[in-house]
Amino acid sequence: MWKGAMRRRDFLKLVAASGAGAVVFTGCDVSSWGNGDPKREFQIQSAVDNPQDFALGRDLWYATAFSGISGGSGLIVRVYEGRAKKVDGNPDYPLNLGRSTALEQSLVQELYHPDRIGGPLRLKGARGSGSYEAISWDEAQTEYNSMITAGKGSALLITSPLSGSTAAVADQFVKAVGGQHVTYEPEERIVLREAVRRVFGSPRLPTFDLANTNFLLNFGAEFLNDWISPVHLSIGYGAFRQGRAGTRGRYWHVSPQLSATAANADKWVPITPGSEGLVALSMAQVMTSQGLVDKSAAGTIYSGITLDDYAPDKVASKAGITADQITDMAKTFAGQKPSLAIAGTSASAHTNGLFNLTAVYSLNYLVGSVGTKGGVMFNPDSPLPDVLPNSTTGTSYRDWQPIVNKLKSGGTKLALIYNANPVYGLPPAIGLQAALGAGAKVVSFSNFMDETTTQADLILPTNVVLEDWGLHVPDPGPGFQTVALQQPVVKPFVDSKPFVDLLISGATAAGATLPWKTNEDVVRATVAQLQKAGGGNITGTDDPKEYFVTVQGQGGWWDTKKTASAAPTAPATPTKATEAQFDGNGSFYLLPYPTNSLGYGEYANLPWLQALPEPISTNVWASWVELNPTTGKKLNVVTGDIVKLTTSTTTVEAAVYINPAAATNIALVPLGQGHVIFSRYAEKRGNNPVTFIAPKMEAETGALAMAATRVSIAKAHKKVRIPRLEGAVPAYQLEDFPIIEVENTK
Amino acid sequence: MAKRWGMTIDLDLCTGCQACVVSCQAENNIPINTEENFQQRRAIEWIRVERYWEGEFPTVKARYIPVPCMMCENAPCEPVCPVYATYHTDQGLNFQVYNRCIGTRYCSVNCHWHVRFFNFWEPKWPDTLKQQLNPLVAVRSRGVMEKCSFCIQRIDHAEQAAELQKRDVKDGDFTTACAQACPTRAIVFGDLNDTTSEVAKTVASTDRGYQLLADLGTNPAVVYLKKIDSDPLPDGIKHRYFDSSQVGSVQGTVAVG
Amino acid sequence: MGRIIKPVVVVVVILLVLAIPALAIVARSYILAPTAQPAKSQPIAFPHSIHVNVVGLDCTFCHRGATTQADSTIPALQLCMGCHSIIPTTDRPELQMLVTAFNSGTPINWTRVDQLPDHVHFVHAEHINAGFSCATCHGDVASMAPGAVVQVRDLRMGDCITCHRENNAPTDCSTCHY
Repeated sequence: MWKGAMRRRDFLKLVAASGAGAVVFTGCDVSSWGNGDPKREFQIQSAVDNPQDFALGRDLWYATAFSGISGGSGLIVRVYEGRAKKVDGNPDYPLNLGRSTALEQSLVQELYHPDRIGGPLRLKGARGSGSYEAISWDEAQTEYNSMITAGKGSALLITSPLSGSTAAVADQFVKAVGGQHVTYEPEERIVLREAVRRVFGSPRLPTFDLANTNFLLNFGAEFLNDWISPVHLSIGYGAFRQGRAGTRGRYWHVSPQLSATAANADKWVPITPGSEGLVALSMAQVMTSQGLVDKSAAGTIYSGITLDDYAPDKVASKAGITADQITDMAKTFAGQKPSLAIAGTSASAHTNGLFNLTAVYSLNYLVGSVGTKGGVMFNPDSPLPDVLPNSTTGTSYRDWQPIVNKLKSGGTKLALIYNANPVYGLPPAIGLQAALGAGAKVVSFSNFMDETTTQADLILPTNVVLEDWGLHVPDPGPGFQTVALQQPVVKPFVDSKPFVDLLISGATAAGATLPWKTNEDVVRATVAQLQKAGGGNITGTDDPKEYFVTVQGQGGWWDTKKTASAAPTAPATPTKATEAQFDGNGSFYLLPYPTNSLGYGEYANLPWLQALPEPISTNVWASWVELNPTTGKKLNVVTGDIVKLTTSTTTVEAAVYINPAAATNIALVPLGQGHVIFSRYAEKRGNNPVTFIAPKMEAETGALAMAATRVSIAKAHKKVRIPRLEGAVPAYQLEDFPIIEVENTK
Repeated sequence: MAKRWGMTIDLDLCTGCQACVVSCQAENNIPINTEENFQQRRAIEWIRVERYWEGEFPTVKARYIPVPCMMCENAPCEPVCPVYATYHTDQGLNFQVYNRCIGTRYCSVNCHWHVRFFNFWEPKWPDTLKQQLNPLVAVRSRGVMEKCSFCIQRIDHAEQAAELQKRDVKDGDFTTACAQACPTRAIVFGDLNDTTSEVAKTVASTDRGYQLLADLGTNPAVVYLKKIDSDPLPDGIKHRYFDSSQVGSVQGTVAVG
Repeated sequence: MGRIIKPVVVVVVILLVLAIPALAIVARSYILAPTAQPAKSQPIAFPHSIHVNVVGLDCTFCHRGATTQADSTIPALQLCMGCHSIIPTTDRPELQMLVTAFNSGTPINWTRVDQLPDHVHFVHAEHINAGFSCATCHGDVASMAPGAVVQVRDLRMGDCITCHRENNAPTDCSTCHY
C-alpha cells in the first residue's frame, strides 16, 4: 500500500474517485454511532450507488494536496467506505516524497472536528455575542449576494496566502466586486520574503540544497519544524547528515534560544536577541580580512558598510559571545565548503529583522553558495503565471493600520474573511476587532468559531482541505516548476461549500461573467491549459480526460527540467547595519516562539496537535514561560509557579517552566495558545503572547517585531501543574549509562 | 526462515518533529490524550519522543530519542502475565491479546522501557471524530493493557495480499505508520532475518548500532544507531545536573502504566 | 424432623450452586448458542433461493469482496437494479421496496446474520482461497426461506480454533486479534 505497493499504477485506479467516492451512509445519523448501540452494531448497509472507484469493505488511497501554512505537501489519504482515515505523504510528489508532518497527519481531525460549523449561520444577537441562527444555503446565498451588491466598490477580502487556481479566482472576484485583497500570514515570513527579494532578487522563496551542503550555519530558522517547508528541508537534512558515504554535514545554530530545531545542531551559539546581523557582518569581516574569501565580492555586497567597524572584538560584547567564537564560525564557514547560511524565525522577529536576514543570506555570496550545489537554489516562476499565480506576500502590521482605519471610518462596506484569523494574530492595539464591528458587513468563510469569525454577520462554512479542489504553486518549490493538485477525497461532512464556488457566485452577483461555475471547473480548465503549455511529468497521452486523471493520480504536475534561470549577481545589500530596538525596560528579553505542533496557532483546535509535546519542554495543552535555572533561583520560583510578566502594554500571568537551556536574560513564551474561542480543544487555554508584546515594527518592512519587547518578572505566589510528557524531574543523560549513546567525531 | 520483525532508529537523523507520534495515534485508534491524562501520567503514546539534557546554559545540549516497544526477544513483560495475554509470536513480536487481558498491570511494572499503557477508563471520542477510527484496529476498552504492535494490522494485510499473489511478503510491501511518516527516514522497519531487507542491511553495515538498556539481556528488536556529535561538550560539563529543588515539588506519586 | 431437613437443605443448596456452571454451559451450548437463535427480521425478505437456484448466480456475483478481501461485502442497490430495472414489480411488494429505496436514494439497513465481535479480524479471501466454500460456514443459504437466513455454524472461538487445528492453519492469537 505504501512505498512499494502503492505506486503509480495503483493511483491510476484510484483517481477517478473524489466527487463520487464518498457516497454512503446518507441515511445514517452520525450521533448514535458506536457506543455499543445494538440497533446499529448489528446492521449492515447496502449503499445506494456503487461507483466504479468505490469499493466496499476495503481501503483506497487518494492523492491530494495541502497548500498549508508553510510550503505544503502532496498527500495520500486512506479512505474506507467514504470516510477519511489516515493522511500520509504522497511518494510521487517532489517536495515531500511520501513524508509528512504532524499537522498534515492531523488534517482528518479538522474534517471530523466535533465543533465544525455545520451549515450557514446568520448573526442573531449583537455582534460578538456568538449568537447565530442556522439558515439554509438558499437564504444564505441571497443574503450573501445582497451584501456583495451593497458593498460593491468597497470590499475587503482577507485570506491566508493563496496561490494557484484559488488565487486566480480571488483576483477575478476582487476585480468584479471592487476593493482590496489582503493576505494574512505570520509576520516573520514578510521579512523573509523581502530579504530574499533584496539579496537574491527572487520574488519566490528559495530552496536549500542541504543534501550537498558540508556546513550549515543557521541563524534561528526553525527549518525542521514550522518554517517555510519543514518536510522538504527535513528530507534534505537527512541526506545532509547520513546521505553521503564518508561525509556528514556539520550544523551550527546561532540564536538566542535552544529551540526544537537548534537541539539538532552540533553546536549551539547562544547570542543576544537581535544581534544576528552584527555577527554575520563580523564573520564577513573575518573572512575578508584574513583572505579566506574573495575580497572584491565582499566589496560589492557590503558597499555601504565599513566592515572593519564590525571586527569580532567590537561585536562580541553586543552579541553576548566571545570574539573567538565569531572567528571560529567565520573560519569554519569559509573552510568547509560548500557551506550555507540561513536565517529566519527569531532572527526576523526584531526591529532590525530585515538587516539580520540580509546580512546572513549575503554570506552565501562570499563562499560561492548561491545557485550552486550545496547552496541556495532558486525556484522558477509558476508555469502559467496568469492562471496559476504564485502566492503573494502577507500584509505587514504597518500596512494593516490604514486597512483598519478604513474599516473604522466606514470606507469599507464589506469584509470577507477566509482561512485567516487576524483578530487573534494581530496585536489588540491595532483595534481590528472593534473596526470589524464599526459598520461594515462581515462575511466569514470559516469552519470554526474563532476570534475573527465571531465578528461576522454571516458565516458561510467552506469545505476543508480534504473535501476541496485546488491547484497550488508551492512556495518554496523543490527548485523546478511544480503544481500540486488538491482533490476532494470524501464528500463534505457537513453542509459546506467550496470557497471558490462562493467567490464565483459572489463575482457573478457583482455583475461579472466568469467562465466557470464551480471550483472543479476552474481546476479542470487550468489543467487543460497546463497540458497545452506542454512539458511536465505526464507523458504518453493526448486525451484531455486521461491527462487530467493522470494528474489527479500523481497528485500534481511538475517538470524537473524547468528550473530557475541563472543565479543572481551579488547585490548591494545590506546597505547599513542596524541594531535591534526594544520596548520597555524590564530586565528580560521576551522571546515568543512558534512551537513545533501549534506554530502560530492556526490549527490549535486539533486535539492531536494540542496533545503533542513541545519537543524541548515536553509540555502539552498549555502555555508557559521558560526561565533559566539561575534566574529561577533569583526570583525564587520553580516549575509550576505562576509569575507576573509585565511589559509596557500590560501584565499577564504565566506558569514557569525551568529550562536548563534558557539564557539568563531571556523569557521564552510559546505562541499558538490563548484562543478566546476556537473549539473546545483550544479555547481559554494559556495565553496569546501577541496580546502582551509591545507592538513594535520591523523598521523597513513594517512587519510586527514579535521579539522586540522587554519584560519584568515577579513571583505571583500561586502554583499550577503544567501538563507534561516528561516526569517531574528533568531527564538528564547519565554519565555511565546514557540512554542516547553518542559517538564523538572530534 | 521465520520472520523477525525489527526496526532501526537512527538517532543522528531524528529531529524530534514527532510526526511519528501523530501518525501512530491516527493509525492505531489511540484515544485523545487529554490534559488530565498527562497530569495523571496516563497519556498513551505507543511511540513517544523523549528529550535528554546534557549540561546547562550556556554549554548545553538537548537530544531526542523516539521510543516504541522494543519487542524484546526475552521480554520481561511476558512471564509475569497470569493469563498469557502477552506472549511472543513466531515472528518475534511481543504481542498483546486485548480480549484476554484482565488488567493486572504486572507487565507494565515489569517493562523497563515504560512502553505499556493501561486504559484506566473507557476511551472516549466525540461522535464525529469516531469517523476517523481505523476499522482494522480494535478499540481497547477499559481495564486493558495496550502497546505498540509494530502495526500488526499492516503486517497481516501485507501477508494476506502476498498470499493471494502466491508469494512471500517482501521488503517494501509495507511499513509501520511511524516509519512511513518520518521525514528524515530515521526509522526503518523490516524483517531482521531477511538479509536483503533494508533494516537487516542497516544493522549489518553500521558500527553505530546499540540496543536501549541492552545490559538487561532482553535482546530488543529495535536497534538504535548512535547519535554523532562533531562538537561535543567538554567532559566535565556534560553531566552536571541542575539543582533538583528547581523543578517544583513532586506532587504525590501517581500510578504509572 | 429438623435433623433430617437441615442436611437435606444444605445438600440441595450445594447441588443447586454446583448446577449453576453446569446449567450455564448447557445454556451456552444450546439455548444461547448463535445457531439456536431464530431468524432475524430483515427490511426486505430477500430470496437467496431464487437468485441461486433459479437464476443460477454464484455467491460472489453479489458478494464481490469474498475472493479478494477481508469483507465479503453487501452489494449496493445499484447492482440489484442492474437486473431489476427490467424485471416487472407489479404485485411484488418486496421488489417495490427495493425500487422505492433506490429511487429515493435511501440505503437499506440489513440485519446482520453472522456477527463477529470487533476484536476479531476475519478475512474472507484467505478462507475462500484456501479452498473452502461459502457453505462451509454459512450453510446452504440457497435453501433458506426468503428473509429468514440463519446462522448455521457456531463461529465462536472454539469453533474457529478447532477448524484451524484440523486444517493446520495458524492458531497464534495475533492471527485474528489485534
